[in-house]
Amino acid sequence: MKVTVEMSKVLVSVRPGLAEMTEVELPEDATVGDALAAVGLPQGLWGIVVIGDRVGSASTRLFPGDRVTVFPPVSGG
Amino acid sequence: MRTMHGYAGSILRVDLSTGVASAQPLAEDLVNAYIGGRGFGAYLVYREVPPGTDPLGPGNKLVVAAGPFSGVFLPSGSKTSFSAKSPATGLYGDSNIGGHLAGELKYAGYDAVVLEGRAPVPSYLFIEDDKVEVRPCEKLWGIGAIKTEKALKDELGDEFQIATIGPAGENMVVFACVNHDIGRQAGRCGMGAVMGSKNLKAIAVRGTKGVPVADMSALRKVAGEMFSALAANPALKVWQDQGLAQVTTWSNSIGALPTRNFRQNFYENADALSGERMRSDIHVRDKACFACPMATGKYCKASHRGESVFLEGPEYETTALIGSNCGLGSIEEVAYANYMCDELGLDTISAGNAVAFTMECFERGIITKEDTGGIEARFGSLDAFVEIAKLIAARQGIGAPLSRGVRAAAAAWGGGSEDFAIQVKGLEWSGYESRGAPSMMLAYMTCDIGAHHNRAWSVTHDIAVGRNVIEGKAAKVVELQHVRPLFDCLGVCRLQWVELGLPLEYYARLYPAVTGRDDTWEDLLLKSERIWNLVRAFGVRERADFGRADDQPPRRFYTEPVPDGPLAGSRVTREDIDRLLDEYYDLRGWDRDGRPTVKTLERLGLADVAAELLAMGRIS
Repeated sequence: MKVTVEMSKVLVSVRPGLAEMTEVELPEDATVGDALAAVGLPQGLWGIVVIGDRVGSASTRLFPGDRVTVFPPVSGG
Repeated sequence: MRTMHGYAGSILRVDLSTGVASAQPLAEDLVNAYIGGRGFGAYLVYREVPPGTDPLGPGNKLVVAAGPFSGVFLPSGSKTSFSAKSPATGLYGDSNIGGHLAGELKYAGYDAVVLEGRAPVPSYLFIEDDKVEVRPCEKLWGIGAIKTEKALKDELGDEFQIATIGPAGENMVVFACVNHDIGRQAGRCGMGAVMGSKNLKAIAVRGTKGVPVADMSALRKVAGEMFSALAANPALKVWQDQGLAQVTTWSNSIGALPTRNFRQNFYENADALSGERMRSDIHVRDKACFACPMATGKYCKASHRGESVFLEGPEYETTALIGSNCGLGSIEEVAYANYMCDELGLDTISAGNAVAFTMECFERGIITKEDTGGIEARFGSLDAFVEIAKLIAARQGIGAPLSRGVRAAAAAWGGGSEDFAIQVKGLEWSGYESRGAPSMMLAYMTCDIGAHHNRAWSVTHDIAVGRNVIEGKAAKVVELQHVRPLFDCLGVCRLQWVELGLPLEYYARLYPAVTGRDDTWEDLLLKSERIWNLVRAFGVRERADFGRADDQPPRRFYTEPVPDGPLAGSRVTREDIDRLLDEYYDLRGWDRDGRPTVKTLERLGLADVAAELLAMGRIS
């Protein structure tokens, strides 16, 4: 299935080479964690993750056409 | 006279010794060179507090300053800066506060208040537009900071915005904070102690004027786009639910959560301190600063030994330093300790450090129950935390050495405790243990006010480019040290940019819309760099031996590997630290002892400062 991963601008600025928007091909039972691994986002570099308009986590199951938006961890105010 | 768009147009000077107040026009040169907020504070403290001034004497000056975005209807133009010579560090210090104070100050007609001298009796500063009075308030002396705010609101009315100190400020504990809006604090650098040294219990402000803006149409357009972008952001709800408490479990997962006086960076009980537990166990309702849709403030309730309290918080820093760093067991325990600190007027970051340091000294046998007055000062004890915090605020018993900070307490207690007094320049380390994050460690080492995270938070940079990598990391720290403090000059909160991803371009567009000035974002960053160097110059002017030795982390961080957790075995080496500092100084145009060169100061429009330091033989 195809899933779109969108990075917040702050994340893109933190990790050079990270695309703001990436479409990835994943197996049918893939999770958010799989999608983030597929776009090369290391563990610890993301905080809030939203699927469509729902807040999720690494174990949230994905479905075809989902759009995953990723925000950096809270950065100290 | 030209209208100062974005500014109220005057600075209020109050001589607390005589009670005489006078308003002076805001100088165009000051605005052009230093923007506002922290910039005004840095300039005025540098110019008006000569070397050798006692930070707790009448010669110190406390500058309370808004920025051009403060009080203007744009996302969270809420910030007020408090600046003075810090009693914690003996250097320049500042700390800012959210809430509603800055806008009210500008509506009263003032961009800054400069507080001088010392009131003959405990007093508060009353400001209602042009009416300015230093009013005696002996009956409030000794009262908690939150109770004082309530008492003044009852007397003056809810329309007044009020900043107060607690007993710790009155007693000049060097990490006493300024409280505002129940649970907001200018926590760092002992600004509450400076207020206490001036016999100033509170500042109460009410304003009815407006703030002129240069291009209302452009302001409405840009601010409208920003509010719309925030409202459409799906992550906003997480912020509204948990505020800053959400970071605790993440920080733990990557090995950055201060635990048991920074011996560890992973807390086995972190889930009990999480944002989710805050929301489910103790949360009452949400709260926002001026014009902020994020509403990160969380009113909570907590009980301990039959006493129920209502407070704002805890957020991440408090959860980290009071919670995991003192080994507490639940978010409710953290909240109760948070309330005690707020009422006493203690900075929760430094207080958490001070108590954790005491607990480690106690468990190692460096101090005993004889020293603690019978307190069983062990990690995990809320009772011990509360008793020690009260003694610190009163400067009694074991609280007396601790009231001067962990550096001073370590000097008094010895026994090798200097190695684990977690501070830089005398200011206790905030909530990110950095043995696995070299750029973050450098950010703490070089932060201009001491070990604070808010000037350059770069943990994600360490994760992104490699946690053991040293080369190139100083550049990110320097970059952040210009961008992030710029928000403190503008008088606007950073969260909407750094957490929810509002592009910096919005702020670049806001500046001309509000002020009518044609500075680009790069121009503003250059001013931020100027302020950074001016603050450094303050230290160089203050002490002949100020320099590289002041930028060192505690020995624990380069001698003790992390004992457990995801980063077990990690540490930064002594050689790494020297490499980081060399690279940092080179990028800044400072010599290898950390002193700005004449060339650098001149490049930044600080030729007069360069001449002064040159004449003193401090730089070359």
